[in-house]
Amino acid sequence: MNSERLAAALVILPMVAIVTAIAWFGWLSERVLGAQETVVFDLTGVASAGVWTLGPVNGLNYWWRDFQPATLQVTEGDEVVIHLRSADVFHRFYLPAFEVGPVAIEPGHTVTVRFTADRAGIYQYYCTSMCGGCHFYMRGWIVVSREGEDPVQPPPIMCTLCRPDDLPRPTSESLVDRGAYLYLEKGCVTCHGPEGQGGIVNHNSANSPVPAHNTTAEKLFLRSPEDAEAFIRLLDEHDDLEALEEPPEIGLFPVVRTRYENAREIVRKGRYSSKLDPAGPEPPLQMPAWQHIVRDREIDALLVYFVSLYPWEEG
Amino acid sequence: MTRRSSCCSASRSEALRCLASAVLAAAVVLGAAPIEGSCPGCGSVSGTVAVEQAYIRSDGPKHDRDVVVMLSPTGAEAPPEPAAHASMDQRGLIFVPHVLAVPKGATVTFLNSDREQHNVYFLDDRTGDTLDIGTWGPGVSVDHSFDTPGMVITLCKLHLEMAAYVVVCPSPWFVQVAFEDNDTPLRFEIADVPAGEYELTVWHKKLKQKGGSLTIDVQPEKSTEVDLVITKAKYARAAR
Amino acid sequence: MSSRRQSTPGQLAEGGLAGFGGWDLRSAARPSVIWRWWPAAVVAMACVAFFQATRPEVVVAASPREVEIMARQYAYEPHRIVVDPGDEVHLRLASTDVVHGFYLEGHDIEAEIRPGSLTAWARRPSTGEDFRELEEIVFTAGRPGKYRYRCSVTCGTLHPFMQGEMIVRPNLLYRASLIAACGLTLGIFGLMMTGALGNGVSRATGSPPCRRIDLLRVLPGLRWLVTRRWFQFAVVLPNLLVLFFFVVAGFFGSPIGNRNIIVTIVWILWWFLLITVLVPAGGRVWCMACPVPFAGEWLARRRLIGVRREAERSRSLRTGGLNRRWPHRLSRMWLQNLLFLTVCTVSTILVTRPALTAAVLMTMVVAAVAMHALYKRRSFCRYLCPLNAWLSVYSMASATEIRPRDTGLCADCRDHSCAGGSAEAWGCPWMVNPSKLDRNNYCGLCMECIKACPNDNMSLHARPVFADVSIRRLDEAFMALIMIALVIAYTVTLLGPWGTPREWSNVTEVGNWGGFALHASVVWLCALGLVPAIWYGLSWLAHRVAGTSTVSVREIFVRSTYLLVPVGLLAWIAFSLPLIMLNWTHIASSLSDPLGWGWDLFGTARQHWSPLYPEWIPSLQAPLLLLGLAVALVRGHRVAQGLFADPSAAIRSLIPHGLACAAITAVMLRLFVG
Repeated sequence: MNSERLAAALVILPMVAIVTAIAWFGWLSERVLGAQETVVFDLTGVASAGVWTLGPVNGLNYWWRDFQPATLQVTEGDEVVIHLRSADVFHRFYLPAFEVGPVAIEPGHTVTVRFTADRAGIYQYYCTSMCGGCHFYMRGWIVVSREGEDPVQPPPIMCTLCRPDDLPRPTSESLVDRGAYLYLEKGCVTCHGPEGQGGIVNHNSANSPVPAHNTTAEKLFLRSPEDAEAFIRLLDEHDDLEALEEPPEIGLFPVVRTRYENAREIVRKGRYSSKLDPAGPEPPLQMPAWQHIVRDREIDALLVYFVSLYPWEEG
Repeated sequence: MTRRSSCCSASRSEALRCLASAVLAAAVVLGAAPIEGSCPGCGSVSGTVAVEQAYIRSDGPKHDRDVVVMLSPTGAEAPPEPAAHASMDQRGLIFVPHVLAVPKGATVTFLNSDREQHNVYFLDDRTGDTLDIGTWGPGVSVDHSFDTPGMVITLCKLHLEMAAYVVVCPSPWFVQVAFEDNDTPLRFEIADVPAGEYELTVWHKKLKQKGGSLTIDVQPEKSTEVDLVITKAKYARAAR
Repeated sequence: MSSRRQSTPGQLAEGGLAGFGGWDLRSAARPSVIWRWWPAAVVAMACVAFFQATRPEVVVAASPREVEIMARQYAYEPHRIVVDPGDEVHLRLASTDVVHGFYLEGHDIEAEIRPGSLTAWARRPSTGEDFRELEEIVFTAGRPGKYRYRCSVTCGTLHPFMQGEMIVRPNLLYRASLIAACGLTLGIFGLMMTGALGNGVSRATGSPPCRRIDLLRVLPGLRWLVTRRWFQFAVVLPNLLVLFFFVVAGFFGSPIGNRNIIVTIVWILWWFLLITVLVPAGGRVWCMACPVPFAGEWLARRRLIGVRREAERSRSLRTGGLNRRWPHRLSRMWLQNLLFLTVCTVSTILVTRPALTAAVLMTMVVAAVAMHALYKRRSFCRYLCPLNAWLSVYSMASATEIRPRDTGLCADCRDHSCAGGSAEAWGCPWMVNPSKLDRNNYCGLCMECIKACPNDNMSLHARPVFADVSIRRLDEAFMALIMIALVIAYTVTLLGPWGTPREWSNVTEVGNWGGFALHASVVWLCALGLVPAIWYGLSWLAHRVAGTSTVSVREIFVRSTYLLVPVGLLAWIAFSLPLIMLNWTHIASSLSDPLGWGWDLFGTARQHWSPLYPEWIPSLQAPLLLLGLAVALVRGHRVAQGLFADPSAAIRSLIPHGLACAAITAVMLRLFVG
């Protein structure tokens, strides 16, 4: 009977030891040696939910992927430490306001960054490596509030793709409707603003805020609502403007076509946003080359959607 | 590294023409230089430009404060001024200046003071023709000379929001002025205009000269006073 | 070069026909039409193989070749590029979704492909240099063969399986191995016909007489060890603790498969060891060490080490379970075959999701507890464990066995403690009669019978591999057939260059239930319908060509599936080989950081992914497949000899299935090498 007890002990004690060891070692590796006022965050990038989230992401809860984007609340002067992880694919963490990153987050590796939150304000942090459909929503706030002040609670940036209610399918097959859908689906909206209004700040970019799209009609030299409508109709019916048999009733059509082709090339090849202050951090928002991700026809849809957004004034 | 694509590099016949015009220009400059500023027998044109039934934005990224007033001799064609030189920069994703008035035949240097690639191409507003003079990186400049009077829209195919206007005036007698606000009429003066009959034209990005261009007679040693009005195209036409 | 290639099959065909010529046709009892035409069939097959081998491949472009490869989760487009040796290849890479890698075997090229960028970041991994931004990667195609390009940056759940293939023409290895497969088939049939192969088979058991080494006599220390009561406990305990740790890691560790120890160890290391070492060497030795039924068995026996005979007769949950008999109707392996097929249908998800792996293991533990509470002994292992079915079939191949030393002694024995138990040992937990053991199928190597036998008549023997040659039941036959269908399905889905099957099988991420249904029904129809139907058709053919009606078609069908054991086992080994050669760094890094929490216990957590001689994988796989074919034919000859008294009828009956094995080998060669 003694051998049975010994055997049972050999089964149970190591099991307890395993759990204890995991918990203790986990705590040990998380511990940060530093000043008392150090604030520590665990931030895990989840591409499939389009969030950087606080708290553990493990095999169990990843199945449901119900993760909330993290708003980091710190007090001015705090020394902040962030442990960065990825739950699925390659990410890049970037907090330009405090010149943190962009730092590559390889899946399965933990990267620790630290900085001093020396300026009060609300800043954004980003994922700057495309990580799937939700990538452009993958950003959150860091709120640096003054001692004694009530911290601001900015609304979290939620991924529209992951909440299908916010992303109604296009109601018609028209190119404009498809463009409006793609504008949300491909995440253009996160940088170019709702309905192409622009206004999204691009930190230290020579071209901040990000260009608006509701003036595209003007950029394409479409000078009247009639021209704009004719252009939308034209693209709706033809996907190759080079092969038109007769020029449409649009003023300065060769120019419009050139501009349209330029616009399409910009979407296809992307556009580099240079630094405003050469000594400052790289601008976080860069127009990617969409060539391999969005089809040409989808670019057409987006462009006519932009054209349709132009606020034609009286006269 | 500077890429130069002035008119002289295009072809042999053009080069010859260029040489000829350079010689002529030298002669004109040599002949004209000593008496500049005290041109005997010259008059001047001055006056105001006012805005009617329209609004001018005098500042901000979308301003349209620039106005060019130019004279074109009605008789003989004005001599070209090939020595004239101007430059247009691309800085902070904006063409600087937004409106550049140059005499016919002038050479304009297009600079790139940004930290990214820029392109320049010209669009002829009337014909719809375009001319791409290339894409170049930071610190590089490209020259281009404008030989035909008229307005050329300068664009960048890499940055659709960038646009500028090069106003090529038919003669050296022009002036570029800018509104300080919408309500104050603008004063302008064109000095040293040889006496004779001229057609006076006002150029503005959006607005048109009310009643169209007008013919004036410049008297020696006298100042001709004209009061001009610019307004939206439809009112300008109606006034004719 | 080309003349030699042309002459080889010709010679082989002649050799085959010469053998055929030496054979006395008239001695066959009833030569049928089919029998008369079989040499033509063999020659036709050789011709097909020859033309397949020498067929010019599709030309892609003139040199220098411009290739644009688009990466997406989890495939490359194009999935196959064909070049000539010495071609200067200009490669442009692009990604459409997330950051992918690109590692070209045998050409020292590794790149990172970033979506939204028209450039790639590349380096030569052998130099350990940093990645440099390049518009295109230029390299010179190396020597002929098959090189895969695969993802080197964790890009999602199925990342380890994302790959494409580059063929440097002519693919000599593929051609040579196809010709070798034909040659082997013809050669072995020739040897059979000349009588040089496989005489003296005992018809009674179907087992060939072969030398066995009594390991317990040769190694006295081993006898001492296996007769200790604590022996099995000592073997299971480490596995149990490891299982426990893995389940914790699976649930609470990183959701990334290749960064969580449960996936890297279970599905890379354990699977590889099981299929390449444990089964061929020890048969069901894993069952001896398996921790899954530990809790249930503890509950039923109330002992970890000792023996308590009352537990065997218990009728109460309190004293050791109800000890019911498992329903007879379910006592065949049909249920297990279906369970195994079910697990395999979702295996793409299973092997890449730590939590699911942990959940399945826990389910098995819980099911084992329930089964031990209700039913006798190891009913769970025998009747429910999904692994049992294929272990039972492939363990026939193993190099060890437990057998009575002297069957005569057992015949006289009245004690039967090996089956019923004694004060020193439990009765056979696997519910077999050890004294009558003649094949490995249901022996879990728990060593209880060795402890129990009062005459010390049970022993552990070493023997030649593939020594058991008798598949006796239809359910066993189906398992062998299912495993063949599955190895092809797995190779296509997981190791193939095609993205669509992977996408279909990865349903929980992609959400394409229609595709998944298609994938599942193809797998099920092939495993349970198409492959058995073809095999049955071949059995009918065998019945006809054998020309004697003493053996039924069904008997031929069941017995002949033994040919699929060597073919299947070697194909599974060939399948598992790349798993470990490509992913060993995942094992190294997850040992150092088992939960993917950022630990670094042994300093290997940040090891960069680097495969082990990946360009040699096809060269290793081809001989393995050919070996499987050769063993199948040689052992198949014994199976046939066990069925037919007439040696010529036996050989004739083997032809359809032998050719089918050659065809399966050709299919596998195409997938692995071609």
